Amino acid sequence: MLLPSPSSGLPARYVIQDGGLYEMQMVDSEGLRSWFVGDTIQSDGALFLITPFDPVFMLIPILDTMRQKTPTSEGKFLMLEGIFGSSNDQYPSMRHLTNLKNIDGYLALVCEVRDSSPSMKTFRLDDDRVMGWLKKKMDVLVSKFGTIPALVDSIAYTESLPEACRSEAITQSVLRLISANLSDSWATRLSANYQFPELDKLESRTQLPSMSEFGKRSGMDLDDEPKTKEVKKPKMSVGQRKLAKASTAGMKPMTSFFAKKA
Amino acid sequence: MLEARLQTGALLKKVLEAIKELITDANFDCSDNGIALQAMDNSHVALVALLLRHDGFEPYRCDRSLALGVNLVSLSKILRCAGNDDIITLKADDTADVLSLTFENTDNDRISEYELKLMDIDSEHLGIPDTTYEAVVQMSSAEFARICKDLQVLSDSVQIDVTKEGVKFAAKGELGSGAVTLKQNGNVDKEEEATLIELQQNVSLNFSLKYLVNFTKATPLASRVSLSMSSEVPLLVEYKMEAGYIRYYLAPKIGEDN
Repeated sequence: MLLPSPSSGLPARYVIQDGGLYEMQMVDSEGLRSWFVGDTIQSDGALFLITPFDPVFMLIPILDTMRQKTPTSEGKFLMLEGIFGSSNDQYPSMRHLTNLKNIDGYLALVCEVRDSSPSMKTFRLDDDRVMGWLKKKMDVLVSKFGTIPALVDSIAYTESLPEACRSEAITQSVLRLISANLSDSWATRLSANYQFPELDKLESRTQLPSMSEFGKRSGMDLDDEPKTKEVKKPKMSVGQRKLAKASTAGMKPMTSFFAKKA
Repeated sequence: MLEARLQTGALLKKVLEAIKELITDANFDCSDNGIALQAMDNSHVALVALLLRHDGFEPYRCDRSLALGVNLVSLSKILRCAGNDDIITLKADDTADVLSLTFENTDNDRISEYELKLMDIDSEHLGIPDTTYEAVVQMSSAEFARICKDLQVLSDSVQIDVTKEGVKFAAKGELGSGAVTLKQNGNVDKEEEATLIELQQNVSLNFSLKYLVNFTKATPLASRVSLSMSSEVPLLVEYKMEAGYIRYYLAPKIGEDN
């Protein structure tokens, strides 16, 4: 089923099975690959990867739009049906999200919940809870960091660096990982909570001058050179410049030897 | 309408190298006889005359005489895009506002096409009379280039003395003096290196070395060079090519006794 991707808002494929949410990714080599399946050949070489996906990431952007927050009001409380209901034309399959196991529990993690009666639970996204949950997510991942080889590889460059640097690199790497599943505005808000003084020091020491500096420098050249050049001299090749320096004392011009043709 | 196809593009590249250091802009005068160029340097003490005869091209076609005003630096930049083995075709309409150049590479079937904007150049042609020179020295062009380069270390000018024994290039400057003498030899084994002198009368003339060194940019065009001299008239340095020539004229320095 198609749902908006939490990071880009563009449609992406997801699967709900046994009350769990899964993200589907297709690895496609543009038809240049095929598979052997037993004794047969499957000509479509595309590979679908289906991996568990934390529903909360999916819920945050949906709740964010549905609460209709304005500068004056904190937004609406909505029932489950109101949040994922048929009002959403672009993603009709969104209502299937209500079938997720423990959807109320997931919502409660990031929402303010009001239950006037057991059958009338309403939810509204709560910024502080979102941040709290994201930070907890960060902490869990940071603590599990060493157990995930792919993540350890991502900070391999810090191996020779002091411990302070290394732990910052771990946090940074986790932050990137989590931000990959967030919209830009949430990602910036989350990253505002983390600073990397040691890494910044390291970068400022090792980084080359940024492109903008190059731009400035060449920009200056562009401004100055043509003006001075044009004023100075018409084009002369190297040889001509050398000859211009040659002393022609005692040499008569060619016209004094050869007459001009009529 | 001009159409000229040159089998070895390297020739045109070398010709440009040989003249672009001396002059900036010049008219290529195209006629049914071939392509000619005559121009003086900025200070008007030297003159270059170039001729690429029609039989050096295959085919060559020029219905009406045309003057193609060319900035030589621009032309040599475009020629740098041509490979040495490329076949170069030059084309121009009678209106002569662009010169189109086609480079064909037969090895990899590449055809490059370039157009060079032309300009109007007021040129005054000098009539150069056929002169019988008092002394004509024929020698290896590489040898001449080397002598000029070597003596430039010492001085800005060189004195050339030609006698029936040989030719002597002498320079004297602040750090000292030097001279190179080449004896006349009819070395049959090494015709390329032989120094031959035809002499009516001994001559002794002074020339600017900077200019002579500039002329030796034509060295790749010919293995031989001839220096023709008479007192009180310009020196003629001639590089003969298979179908044409490049001639440099240089006014002697007068009143400078070294």
